[in-house]
Amino acid sequence: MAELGHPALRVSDLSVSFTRASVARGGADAVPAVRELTFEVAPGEVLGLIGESGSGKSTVGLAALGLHDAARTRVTGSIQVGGVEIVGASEKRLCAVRGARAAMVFQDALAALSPLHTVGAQLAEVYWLRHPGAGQAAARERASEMLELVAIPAARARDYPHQFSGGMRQRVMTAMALINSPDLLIADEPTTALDARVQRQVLRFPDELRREHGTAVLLVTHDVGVVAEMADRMLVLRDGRQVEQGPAEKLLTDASEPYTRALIGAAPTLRTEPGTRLPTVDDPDPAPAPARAPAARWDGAADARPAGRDKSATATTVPAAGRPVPPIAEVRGLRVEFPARGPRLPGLRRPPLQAVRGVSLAIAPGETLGLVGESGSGKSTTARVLAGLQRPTAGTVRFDGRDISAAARSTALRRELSREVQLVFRTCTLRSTRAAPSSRSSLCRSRSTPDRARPSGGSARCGCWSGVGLRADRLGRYPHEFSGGQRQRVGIARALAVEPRLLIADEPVSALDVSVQAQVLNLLMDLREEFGLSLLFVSHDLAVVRHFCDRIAVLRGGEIVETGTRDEVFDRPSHDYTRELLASTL
Amino acid sequence: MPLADDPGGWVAGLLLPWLVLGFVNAAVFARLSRAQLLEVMHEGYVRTARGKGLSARRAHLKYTARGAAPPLVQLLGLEAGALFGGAFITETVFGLGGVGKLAVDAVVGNDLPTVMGTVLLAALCVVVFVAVADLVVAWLDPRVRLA
Repeated sequence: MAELGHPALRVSDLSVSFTRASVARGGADAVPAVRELTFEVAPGEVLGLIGESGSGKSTVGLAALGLHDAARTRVTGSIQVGGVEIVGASEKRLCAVRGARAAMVFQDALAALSPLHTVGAQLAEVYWLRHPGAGQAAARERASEMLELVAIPAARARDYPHQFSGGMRQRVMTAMALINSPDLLIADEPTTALDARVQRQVLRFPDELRREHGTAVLLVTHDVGVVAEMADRMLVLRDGRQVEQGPAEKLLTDASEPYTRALIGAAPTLRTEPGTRLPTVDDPDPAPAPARAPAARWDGAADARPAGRDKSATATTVPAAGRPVPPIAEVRGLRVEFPARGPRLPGLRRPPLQAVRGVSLAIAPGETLGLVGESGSGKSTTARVLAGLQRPTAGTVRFDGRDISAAARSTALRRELSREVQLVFRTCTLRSTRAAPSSRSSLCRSRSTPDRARPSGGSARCGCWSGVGLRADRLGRYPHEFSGGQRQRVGIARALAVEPRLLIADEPVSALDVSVQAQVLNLLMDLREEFGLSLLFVSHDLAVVRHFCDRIAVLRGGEIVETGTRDEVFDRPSHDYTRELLASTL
Repeated sequence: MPLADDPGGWVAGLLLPWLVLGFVNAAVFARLSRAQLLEVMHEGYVRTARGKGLSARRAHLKYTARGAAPPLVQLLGLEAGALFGGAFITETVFGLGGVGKLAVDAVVGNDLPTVMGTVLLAALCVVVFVAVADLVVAWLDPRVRLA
């Protein structure tokens, strides 16, 4: 129980810096991660600590439990957990606080749970640490109870962490933190990389505990939606310094600092005006973009839209009104099966994994089709089939009327196809030994055909590069010298270097910070207008899809459950699953 | 000095050869242990263990050591197998009549059956020890087990 009168967590003038002992530079440099931070969390309160990557929020969470490596970190100031001073405390005092008074839910459950011990054993250990008098059996009992509490069948206590799904692992971590009913729970990005529905589930438990036991929660995240759901108060961090602090309601709707407004506005919600430029931290109040003209429907229903640059003789541009425009890419009755893993002996063989079962889609020229679904729904597989990288087991795949189902096996066909269709991935993996531009210009060279009037070499490179907003002096750098957002831009530049007509983007912004995500989305919107691209945008984030796409297709378990225009799907969903997904979007 | 007659003398006589063989392998193990422990120490689950309230000693003994063990066990299997196959130089230096000396003498003296026998013995030892090591690693690290 918290000592009466003490806040669950009190941080005063906290500064954390990491010392980089680099002898070559003449001694240790100190990289400040957190600077003079002061805040309090009262019992039963939820404080959302929000900021971009590198803002120091995880550092604060770790410092609160004294988990930093003493050899490499300098912590000054004061942190009091339930009245107990953490900074400079002895090992014994820290051990007494951890797991009992305060507990932490770490970010990446797969890395944070020991792969060598069963889940039940790891849970029981925490309990037994605080109640050494209780026998092993009692600890196991309690572990099973906690698992049931987080909706995991107790029979699974004998399983290892790698045998669980991501959401379940996160719940196990939550159970581990809550097993001793701590006064303070520190949740470090508890829902990153989880689907919307699973996020909701995972957030439920700390909330329940808060109401039952009056546990205070320090919620560290970059996801504004999560904070909006759960937090009473918010603290915005930037580069280790506090930008603003106050009641969540107020900060979400009417923050006083432009940085806060930009951070909150950068994440599209289900209520953002679709197609508008998102605010970013460099540009908190963007000018409204001209409304995007509706794309040509492939059945000719809507007005044709004016195309971007006219690139080749087979331009997919303005058709005569009333004449249906053929889709630029389509799949009909697509089935993709993966052979089962396991022994190949007859009788022991498991059925093949059906990733895609009978999907039919069409993308009109100039249109952006959004493909939504949870993990494992088959969206990436479908995208890869359209890009010619995955062989369909059955069904037809056409690009511009030509059958491309053989592309996965035929290098020549794939090379031809790659002049028209390009992929952008979630994390842009570039060859780490080649400087970025050379990998792209080689792409340009190999793809260019005589009939495409293209300026040679250097100026083409610069054109693509500056088109994505990267400075020319960065051309010679290696991929690892770029940040995540910059690498995505390089990936986009690479994809656009050959001036494709169809761009397939598979979760291009999921791994990015909310502000960087906004920048990349704005960039894609600009490029889309400029090049007249057709896009297939695959994502699990409904709000982003709604913001960016004209039409949506919802996938579940390899099948399409609903398709329609953006307004149809989001305002008048016809399928229960779509409604469920919408309801879980924070 | 046969073991049955004089155990103390047996140990005394073999102590130096043991140390010699041990030193050679110890260097490799020390290097590998250090690298493994350093790597595992910074893994997420060790930090979780500390976050649970385990003392540094307990956390490292229970988690870091076990996490660092698999490659060491595999190396042990290989080395043990090789050792049982024969350690020629050590045997010669200490004047012990061992399998290694037997094998080399047979090769030099064109004694084919003996050569075949010693080679087979060495191979068998390596296979058995490596197999045992693999089983131990599977016990230590559940991710390695067959589905």
